[in-house]
Amino acid sequence: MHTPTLLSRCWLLLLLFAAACSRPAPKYDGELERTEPWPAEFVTAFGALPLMHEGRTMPFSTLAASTLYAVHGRRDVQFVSAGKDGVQTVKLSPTEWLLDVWCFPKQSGRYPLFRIENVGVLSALGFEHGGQKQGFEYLSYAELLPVGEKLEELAEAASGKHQSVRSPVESHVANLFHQLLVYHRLHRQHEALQGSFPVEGEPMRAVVGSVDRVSLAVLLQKSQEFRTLVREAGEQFEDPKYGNLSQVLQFVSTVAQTPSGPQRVPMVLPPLLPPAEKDAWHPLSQVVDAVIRGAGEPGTKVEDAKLRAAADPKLVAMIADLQAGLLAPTMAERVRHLDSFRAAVVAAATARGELGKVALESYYYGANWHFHAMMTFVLAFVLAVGACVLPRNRILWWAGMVTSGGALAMLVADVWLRCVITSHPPIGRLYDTFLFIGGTGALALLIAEAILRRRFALVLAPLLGALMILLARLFEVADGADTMRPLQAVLLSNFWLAVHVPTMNLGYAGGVAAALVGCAWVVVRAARIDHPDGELAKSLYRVNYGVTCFGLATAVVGTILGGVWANDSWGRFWGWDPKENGAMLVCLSQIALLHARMCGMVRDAGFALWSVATGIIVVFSWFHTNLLGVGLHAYGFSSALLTGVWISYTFLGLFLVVGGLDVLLRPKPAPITRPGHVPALPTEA
Amino acid sequence: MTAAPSTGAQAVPHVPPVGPGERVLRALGSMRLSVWLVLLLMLQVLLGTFAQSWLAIQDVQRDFFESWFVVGELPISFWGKPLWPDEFNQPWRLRIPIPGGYPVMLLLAVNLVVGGLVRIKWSARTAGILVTHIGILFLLVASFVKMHFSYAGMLGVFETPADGNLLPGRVYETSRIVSSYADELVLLVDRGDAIEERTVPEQQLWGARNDGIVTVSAEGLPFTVQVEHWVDHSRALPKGPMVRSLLPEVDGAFLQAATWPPGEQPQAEQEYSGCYVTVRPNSGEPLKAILRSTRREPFESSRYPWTFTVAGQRYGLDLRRVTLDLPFKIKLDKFQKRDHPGTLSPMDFRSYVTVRDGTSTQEAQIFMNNPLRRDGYVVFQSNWGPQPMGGPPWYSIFEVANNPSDLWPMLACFVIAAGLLLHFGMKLRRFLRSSAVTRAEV
Repeated sequence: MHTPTLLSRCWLLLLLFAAACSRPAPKYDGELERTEPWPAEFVTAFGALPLMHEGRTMPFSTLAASTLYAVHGRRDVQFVSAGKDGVQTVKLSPTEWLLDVWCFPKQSGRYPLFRIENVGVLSALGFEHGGQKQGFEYLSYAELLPVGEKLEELAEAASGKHQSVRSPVESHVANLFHQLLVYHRLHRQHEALQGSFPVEGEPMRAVVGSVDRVSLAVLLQKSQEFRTLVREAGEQFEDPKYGNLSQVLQFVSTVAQTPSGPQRVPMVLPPLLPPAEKDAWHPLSQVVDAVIRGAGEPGTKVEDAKLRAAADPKLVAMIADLQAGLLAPTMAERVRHLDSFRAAVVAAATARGELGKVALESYYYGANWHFHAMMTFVLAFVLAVGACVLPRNRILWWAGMVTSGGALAMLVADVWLRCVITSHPPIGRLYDTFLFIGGTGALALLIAEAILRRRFALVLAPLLGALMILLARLFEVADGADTMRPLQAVLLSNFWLAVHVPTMNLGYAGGVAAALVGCAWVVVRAARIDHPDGELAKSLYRVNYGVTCFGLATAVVGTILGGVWANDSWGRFWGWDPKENGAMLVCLSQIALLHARMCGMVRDAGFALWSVATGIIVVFSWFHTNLLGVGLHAYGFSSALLTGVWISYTFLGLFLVVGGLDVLLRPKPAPITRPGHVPALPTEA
Repeated sequence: MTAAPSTGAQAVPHVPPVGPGERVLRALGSMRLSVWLVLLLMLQVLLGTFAQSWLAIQDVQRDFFESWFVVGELPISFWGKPLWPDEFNQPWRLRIPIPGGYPVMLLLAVNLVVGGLVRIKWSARTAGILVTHIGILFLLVASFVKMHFSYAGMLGVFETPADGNLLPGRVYETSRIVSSYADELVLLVDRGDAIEERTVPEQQLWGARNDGIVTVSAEGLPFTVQVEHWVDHSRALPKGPMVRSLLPEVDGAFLQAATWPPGEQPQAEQEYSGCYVTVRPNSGEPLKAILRSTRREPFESSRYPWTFTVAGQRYGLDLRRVTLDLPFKIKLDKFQKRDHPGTLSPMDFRSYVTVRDGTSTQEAQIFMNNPLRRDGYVVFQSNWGPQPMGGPPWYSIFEVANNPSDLWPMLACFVIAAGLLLHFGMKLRRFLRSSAVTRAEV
């Protein structure tokens, strides 16, 4: 009854995949304000600009990428624009996109950014549409903003319901509202700097010079004179003789209102104080407030040292550079001012000792070692397949091993850089587990290959490595969160993070690798590509046994260590939390499998199928437990994960079915083999 | 039976006659039994995990893992979509009756001892397995000890103000821990100059769930107490003309079992058990009341028990959290919460406390992953308040546990790790020396 659903889903996925590959770029309506591209060196340099967001200092490029993933769901912005010079396709990197958001608010507001996958959402928001079609609709900020209130209403109604009872449209609407909110904050962050205001009346002109319009930065530079004027005006500030002083005051006080509580937008102005204990950077509003109030002057009474420091003229100079950059008429001037702003921020961040990690992170994302590792794994996979086709060619075998080793080294470099940047052991967030499990699983298989030299582990190792890195990259975009975000208090124990988490994940890696070998066993048997004596299947069985033993040992120790940690942080060894239970299920499955094998309940076929089933349990424990919305480990949530989880279940389930059918339809059972044991033959001589 | 090498095809093993005791032992220690028990345990854990979507965690624990029998329910969904959904779009649940945690764990322990320790061949080859099995047995013993001989409760204290201005109704220094879940029925007898207490633990009143009735009596009392309609997670509501109540009304109020919207996680720790009591004097009219327990730390708990008079003597009845006094007092000198810069998410929260008993004073810091261990008790940083913006006035909630087997799991972990390393290491070594490897090299 449900097979058609599955089939149609598979087709849909294939279609979606095809559509994603040959995606017609969405359209951009209107003229492009920015007529020349951003200079490449400037984009690289400005991408390394340090700023503070969501509790840590990060480069501009990281902020751009994680925000773009969150609101756009892709690694770049692509659109077709029909301008004066004909139709052109524009492709923007995250950094270029965020630069556009800062410098060209009107243009970036019209970028087709928000992906609509369900026309029901368009109907609900009152947009006209031509019915559901292949591919996605994209809406821009400018299109979405007018229906913002309606969207908020719908999203609030949807948020009132628990995730599991929302309809697809409701989930989409809630998600869309969140995306709009994130983008809205970022889009309006520099609103106060993105224009100038008129100057009216002689007294105002006396302060800022005889100009018609003035920018916020100039007003800040003349803050002392401005303050004198305000003091002089006193209660009469609305008097016509002071021109538009009251409007200016109104504008300044709006800008200077620092929201209390958490800062939702990135803070781009570094404190010029020596770093106190993890203190926050200045939001623009704080500096404006401090400067206009004259918090830095000796006569004023300001208790807060932070606010006093915010009135520093150097910060005003930074703001002036930033604003000049945002308003510059030509690209050359824009680049010059923004570069000078960047240099000032970098100097201040260096003085605070915060630059090193930001620079390293900028290098990390630029170097993209895990991407290179993935491509090298693919190459190694091709070489390994070649080594299988030409079994007598030892050079291919060596080439495969060395290439896989190289890829592994790149992956290790990538993970090591992450450890250095975040100052904690390799796994802290769900994202990290992909890289770790991919790396360790591939390593385990390469070791097996080095020992056995049967070539299949040579094929499986790069396959696992590449697959896990690919999944990590997909997860990164789908999750749309900073992959180095600060950890919550309970996880901030480097000892336990270093001891329990990697051990547990080694257990997962063992389980995944064993499942993969089990799948390979099913393929070898079902497709009948073995030697006549079944030598290949036997070797696979041996490797599977070895990897399962490795997985069991690490999973058991990891799980118990988790209990010991829980005993120290939550006051109980075991709390039947879903994640704990999941880990225990993995251990139990492997324990049962090894005992079943020992007492002859399962043989090679049973072992292979059981390890595939254990793979399903690993996926359940690794991801699905986080999606139940229950328990203490529910901190790595993503709805895109659920689809991934079900794809894995279906994939592994397919192997179970094929393997099971093969066992049932095979005329006679295979003889008992035990890895590592060759039955003693009676000797006659 | 385990790693014993098969002797090939040539030898017909000599089978000695088997007695009935031997047969029972063989069955109890058989590896097939282990496999089936572990599979059963897996099913139990899986169903117990799913049950947390609609049951509170301590109810799951009680029903699944501390029980003899349970009917688990498996929600049937596919690709994250419920199959045969009900009106709330929740998946249909397949009901599966399974044995509870007690019989499975007991049998598993017996199986482990008989098969994995006693009957297994003791040799250098099985040394690793033996060590591992001993470690697991130790872990099982630790959990048994934890289950039967440990208790835990919450202790909440306000930060002592620097100006020494203590406000009434707030706890600043205490030795009293309040059980997280367990309630007791207490009968108070007013003796004029003193109040005498007699308590009944809630387990003895669970028989009054649904339509059950539990009668409590004691020698020398001129009445019996009849307990009805025990509700584990109750709310007490006023009875208005338009309010329908399933349970009877007493003095304008009634009890209602707390329910949670579909898909929502039950928050049972915020809910308290309640029951209806009827005092039946040996002569005279019966008296009725509703009792309900509450928890208030870090505020002073002032209880107002239901009082009544029988034969001229004043009595009181109350349903309250089980409390216990520690041999030391805890005072919160300072609470500190540090956030990730520019956010409200805590990077660290810790309590600076002074611990005092009759003779000594100790200062300590308690924070995540760093509990205070003293006199057999372990004090953990559990929560803080007021949430979410914080104080002052800050308060800190500690979880205090007394568990004789506190550190045993860690020891068991070392033993198991050593055993597995030994066993699999030896296996690998044997394998690397075997012909399977050398043949492949050719």
